Amino acid sequence: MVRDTFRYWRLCAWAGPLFLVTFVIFWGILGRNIPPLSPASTEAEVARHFIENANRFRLGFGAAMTFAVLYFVWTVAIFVVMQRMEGDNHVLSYLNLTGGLATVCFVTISCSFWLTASFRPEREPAIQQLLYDLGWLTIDMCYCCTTVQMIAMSVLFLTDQREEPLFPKWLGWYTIWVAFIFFVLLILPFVKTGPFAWNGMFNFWVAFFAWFIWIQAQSMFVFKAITRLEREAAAAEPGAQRSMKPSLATTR
Amino acid sequence: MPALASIGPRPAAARRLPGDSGVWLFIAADTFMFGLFFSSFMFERLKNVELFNRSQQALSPTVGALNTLFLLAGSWFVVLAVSAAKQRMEQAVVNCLSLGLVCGGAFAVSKLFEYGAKFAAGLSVVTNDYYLFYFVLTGVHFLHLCIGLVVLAILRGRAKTGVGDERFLRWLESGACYWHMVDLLWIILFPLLYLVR
Repeated sequence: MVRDTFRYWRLCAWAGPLFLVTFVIFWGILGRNIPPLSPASTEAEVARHFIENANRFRLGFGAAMTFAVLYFVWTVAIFVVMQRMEGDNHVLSYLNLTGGLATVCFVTISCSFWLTASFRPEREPAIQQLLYDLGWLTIDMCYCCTTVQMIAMSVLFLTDQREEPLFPKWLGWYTIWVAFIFFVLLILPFVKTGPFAWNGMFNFWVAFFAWFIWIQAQSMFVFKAITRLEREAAAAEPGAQRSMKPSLATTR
Repeated sequence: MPALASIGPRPAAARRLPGDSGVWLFIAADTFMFGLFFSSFMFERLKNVELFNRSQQALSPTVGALNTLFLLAGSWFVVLAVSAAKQRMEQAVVNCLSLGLVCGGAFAVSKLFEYGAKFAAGLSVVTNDYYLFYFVLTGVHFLHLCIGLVVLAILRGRAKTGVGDERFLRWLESGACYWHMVDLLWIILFPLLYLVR
């Protein structure tokens, strides 16, 4: 019983690294989004970008939309671990769940704009540019869904009362840091060149790669946390009644 | 609520850094981020020194210096709060944190007036590259300051019941370290934006 439960948790946690790999391949490399075109590109440049890469983008963004769902599956793995940690109060785990779900929605929607542009690449260049802009403004400016998810997580990790916390404190602090550097994206709509543009140092390189590194680090420690919870649940199992509600027996 | 079981002498050699060790990772990461801000400011400035110097003249170094004084005084009160907490003088902790909050609040109010004056003069984030950096750098710093004010206010609220609790002291130290970082970043920001010629 216990083993089965945790097997599913672990399977869901694998979705994190898998999301990262598929997202970088399909969205980043096939979709030519690492790095993106400059927001200062002309209509003709954007139109040519889609004409020259139409089939590559159809595969890239179609697959990116499919695999983006893995982020949601991964969020559920963190959700169940957080529920165990929270005991009776589930507000932080639900903030994580809804934040993760919303993140998937907006990543998917932005990919659908780029996919639409590559569906009929012969379209009027001004419309292609509009679709390209929509994609980038959507994926960047919906950052706050991810921020909510991250802040909920870090609050829980940092207030963990266990002798040895389930997640390391530094991970909580790193998570808060990434959640807050996203706020620099607020400047993105005002600029088309320089470090704050959507292809610039802060709003592309730092923001995206800090998020990627976070997904990887978070995944590693979710596995460790699941192993510990599993061990705790197994230790509690012989006393049949206690194993019914391991969340109460193990959180304090 | 944190358990009170941890009252008592702290274990020997258990703590080397003040505050939570993880908060130092946050401070390092944040300082690194500001380091990138500062270097890209200097980099863009080199491309157009004349424009940056001309734009800078609209800023008042006196206001900037006053801001610096507010933050330095705030940091001093926070230091006093930490040492009062170590001696379990709860009223002193509350008073010092209140004074720290007043200093930080004064900084925030003067910054808002400064922003208001810039907007009234028709200067904004799109005016030129100098003002882009001015608003982004001071804006991100302002966000940090606001978070710091919330942290100090929470600590002040907890001080009445928490003094003597090891856990409270650790959070107080973490909050103080963060507050000093906000102060430190301003000390670099101020000459960079207001004084460098």
